[in-house]
Amino acid sequence: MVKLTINGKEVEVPEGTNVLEACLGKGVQLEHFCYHRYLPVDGNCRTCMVELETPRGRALTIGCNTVVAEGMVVHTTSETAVRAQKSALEFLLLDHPLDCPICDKSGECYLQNHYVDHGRYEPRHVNPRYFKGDKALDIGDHIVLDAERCVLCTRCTRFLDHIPGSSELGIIRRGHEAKITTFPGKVVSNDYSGNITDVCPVGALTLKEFRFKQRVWLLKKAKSVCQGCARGCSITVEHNFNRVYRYMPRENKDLNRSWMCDDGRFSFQNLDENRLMLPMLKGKEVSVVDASTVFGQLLSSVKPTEIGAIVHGSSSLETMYQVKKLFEKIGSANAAVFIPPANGKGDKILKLPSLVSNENGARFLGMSLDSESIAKKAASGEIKMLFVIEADVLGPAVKDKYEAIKQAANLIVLSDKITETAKAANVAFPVRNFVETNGSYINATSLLQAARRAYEPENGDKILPAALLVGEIANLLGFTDQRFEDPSAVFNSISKEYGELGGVKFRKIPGRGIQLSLPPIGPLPFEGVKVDFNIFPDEYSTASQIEEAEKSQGITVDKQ
Amino acid sequence: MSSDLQLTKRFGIENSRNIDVARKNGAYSSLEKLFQMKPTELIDEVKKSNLKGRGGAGFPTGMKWSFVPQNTGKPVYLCVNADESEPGTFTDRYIIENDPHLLIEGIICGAWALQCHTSYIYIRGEYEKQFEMLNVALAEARKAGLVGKNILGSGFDLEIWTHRGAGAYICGEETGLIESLEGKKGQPRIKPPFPAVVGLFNCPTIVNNVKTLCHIPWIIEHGGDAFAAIGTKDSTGTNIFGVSGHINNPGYWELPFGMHVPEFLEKYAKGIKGGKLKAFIPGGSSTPVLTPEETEDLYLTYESMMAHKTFLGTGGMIILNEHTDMVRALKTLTHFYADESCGQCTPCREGTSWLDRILTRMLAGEATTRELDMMVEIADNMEGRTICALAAACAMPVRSFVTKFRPDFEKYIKPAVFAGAAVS
Amino acid sequence: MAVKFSDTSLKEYEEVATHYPDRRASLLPAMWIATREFGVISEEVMLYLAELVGVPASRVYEVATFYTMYPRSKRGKYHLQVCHTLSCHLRGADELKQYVEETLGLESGACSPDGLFSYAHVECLGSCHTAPVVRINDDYHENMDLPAFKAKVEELKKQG
Repeated sequence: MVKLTINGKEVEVPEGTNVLEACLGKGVQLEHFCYHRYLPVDGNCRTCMVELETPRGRALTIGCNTVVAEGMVVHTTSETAVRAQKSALEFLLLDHPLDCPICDKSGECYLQNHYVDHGRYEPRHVNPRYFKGDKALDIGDHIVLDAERCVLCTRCTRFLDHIPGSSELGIIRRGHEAKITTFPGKVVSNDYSGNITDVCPVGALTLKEFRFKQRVWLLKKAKSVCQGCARGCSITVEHNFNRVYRYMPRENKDLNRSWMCDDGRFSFQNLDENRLMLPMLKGKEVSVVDASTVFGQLLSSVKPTEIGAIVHGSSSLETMYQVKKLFEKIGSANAAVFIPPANGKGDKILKLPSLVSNENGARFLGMSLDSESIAKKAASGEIKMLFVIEADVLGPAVKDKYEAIKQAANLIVLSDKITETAKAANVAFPVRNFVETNGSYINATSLLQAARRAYEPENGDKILPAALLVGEIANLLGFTDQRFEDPSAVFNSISKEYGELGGVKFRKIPGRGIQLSLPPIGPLPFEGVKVDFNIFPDEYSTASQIEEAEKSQGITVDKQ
Repeated sequence: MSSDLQLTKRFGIENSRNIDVARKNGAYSSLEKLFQMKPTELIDEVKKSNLKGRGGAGFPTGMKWSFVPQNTGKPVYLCVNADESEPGTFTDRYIIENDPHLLIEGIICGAWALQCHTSYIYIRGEYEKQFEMLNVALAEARKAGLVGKNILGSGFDLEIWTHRGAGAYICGEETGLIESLEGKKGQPRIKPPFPAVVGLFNCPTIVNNVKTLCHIPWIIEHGGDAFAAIGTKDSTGTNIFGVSGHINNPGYWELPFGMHVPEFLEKYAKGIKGGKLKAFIPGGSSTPVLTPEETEDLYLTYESMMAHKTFLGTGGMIILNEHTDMVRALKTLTHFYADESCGQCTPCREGTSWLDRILTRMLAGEATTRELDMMVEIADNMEGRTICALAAACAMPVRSFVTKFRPDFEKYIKPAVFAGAAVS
Repeated sequence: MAVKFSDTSLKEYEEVATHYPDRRASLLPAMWIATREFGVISEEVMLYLAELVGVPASRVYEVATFYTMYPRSKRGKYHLQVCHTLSCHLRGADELKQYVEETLGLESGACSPDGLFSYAHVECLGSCHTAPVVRINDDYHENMDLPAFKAKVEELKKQG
């Protein structure tokens, strides 16, 4: 640890921290554009100017490229430092277009934030603005470029050079003519292209999927977990009007840094496709009353030992736990978790071939992964009522192996979408998707994370979370202690039962997750990419500090 | 006297580029003594000479060489800066045209001191003919066993390659040069790390100007103390001083440091052309301009220049006579810096262009007094805030022109009531 | 790919590439060979160089546009580069600029319709004591006051 003085106050930070991170970690405001914690330092924006005391007097320098030294004395609020910070902003705004009313970045723009504190409020340049061209240019599957907004911080080029390694963007020409562009005719096309719109501090790079859709200050945010693959990157679900407008990666140093892949990022688009809104009987929609009547009759016609269940490996821990508990009480081994074949595209960065988000959750609970034998038992008649929970086993991927379940006497399906399996069910019940309910997931590197509810669905009282619906089914079977108000309460039970979780309550699960010790599924993140990140003090990334900041922005944190 | 000449002693000899002619007149004669000195001894000798970098920055060469860590396991590189793009500077070219073997000899000496085995000569793209001349001279040297493996049986290997630039002043900045050698845009790097530790291909690197290296053979033959005895205490040895602009005899001369500037202008440059002296730029356009009064007690030394709040720089003087329109003159400079800015860091990229645009408007009669005052403030906001010194190189002439020749600028400012609408 | 180096040029390039421990550093010399061979660094040429040298296409595009001397458009048989920085300006470069713009009708970066002349407004050429200086193709023409420049242009026009 190194001791230094910032604005007269002595602080202690880890060795190797740069002055900018030291300031941010200790709550000292220092604006910056080109610096990014997880990208190499470039030092070109000249905004994070600080004054250092040296034997030859005070020296003005940038904070991001200065490593702390024992006894260093730093001033960020001295007159010289402030003048330098202000003039850097003035230079950046010189030819920046007044696009705020039509710019998506408005509300989370570094220039706006910096201006609030350091703006001149009396612009003094009378030159006509220089127009760089390339307004609203389509440069990729997902990216729109507005070159005249660009502040040439090189965050995007550094990201593309280091993480996907595809280097599609470059800065051509020089001096004031310099601008960001792709090679003529080429596009930004890689599995991580969305991240460049995150790192861009202004609205030069924006997402097509988000363009003009919503103002960021109207978005409510819920901390969640991506369901795209087994990596389970930390994300934020940003929503309004009970609709998701975007997923953003959430910083998690050991898991996904500040990145997420495009497949995961844009998976929000099919959340509400083909939703099962009302129960179905053999593919025909019926009312909730009718469905539950039929279900009740079917349930009373079978013995508890003749019931079986297949749960999808991407169901939440709570759902799996409810199923496990039920079958423990029934005393049969007729429940298993379905793990679809791992046919996703894996890379050495974040993506994994396995698209199942909670396989380690199943292992943690000690559940069987042999769903095929459950299906066989259903076909042979040993199981007379088969519950298929959130798993489209009759879908194209695996239907050869699971066709036989159609012969089951009673097929009861819990699903959020109208799938082939749901259509074939005797009774299909709608359940919520992962943004509409609380849940927890253990990913490929056995990190347990909480996916917090963003909003409730339209018929909230009629569409329950799968975990709670299983509890209701258990109740019908006479096991009354599995009814809970919310899946977070289910988690609290899990936490009490499994010592490894230390009794933590759902609402207290830290933002960066709880590291458990199951064997990993697939390679570790960033194995193929040498990505060093800049050292920073813990204060800047503890869950509590982030929660503090988010609370002040009105982000919903589930209270349970 | 020709015995005083170190860099230009073989200029004027017929066919001086030819290696045999050059050797007959003393080229490569320092090598025998060189290989008997230990590298550290050579560095000490250069330190004793107090030789300062001739590229404009004036950093003590011996000290710079001593920053290179040996025993890192990485090769050391020596880069020769023949990019010569500073306006007013033109003398490195003549060394290559008249005595390339002196440069090669200097490189061998420098490489020995640094224990470097690969050297690159970075020459500006416009000097295409000189590039060819260098290649011919290197081929001759290779054939004579002076470049390549086991030079003159000493056991020392050294390869020297030429690398042609392509039109960028910023590649004269040492880390810009290194970036350009690596096949990228010549954008200077942030420091730390410094090139002596992390330079070309991430290896320890020294970048030296052509003239700096050409002094080394003389220092080896006559000793660092003898070099330090020439010139003044802080400005030792000789330099090739050039003059251009409104002068009767533009050209270049190799002289010891310390000459009185007015005397130099009369004796060598044969006086101001077309009228009286109005403004004097000492060492390339990046150095603050001086008024005639300020040149009265000015000497061609680093310390005298600094005392007058300017810099000797490259020693390429530019003379402006009384009929010069200072605004138009400054406009050529702001246009130059705005054109040559690499665009990496904010104050330079935006500031050079802003200053240039203000001057364009001023020449069209559209600028206000407020903008004139703003120019100095913009210059202050650029200097010392950037990755490299180009912003300062633009700021210094702007500040000195506007403050010392303000009446010239005010002529272009129309009364406020006629000026374009000022934005509030 | 439509363009590629001739065998001689390729041999020359491969030799130059050995001067650097990292092949990617040979991009600038490669682009000089390409300038000589193809005359214009077009997009096709850039893609070829990207593959030959082993760097991303965006890097080649950056280098081709950052430096001023790689031609991005067709040049005339005589490429007139008139310096207009301080020393040349003090010795009358403005007149040369005016002559080219008004009499030859060329703006900076343009090529005459007959393909004989192209013109570029360049920065300090490094021969300030012989100002005004005009570089024509690879040659420096020094002490080019207006009469001398006019005479040179006429001479070149006659040569065709």
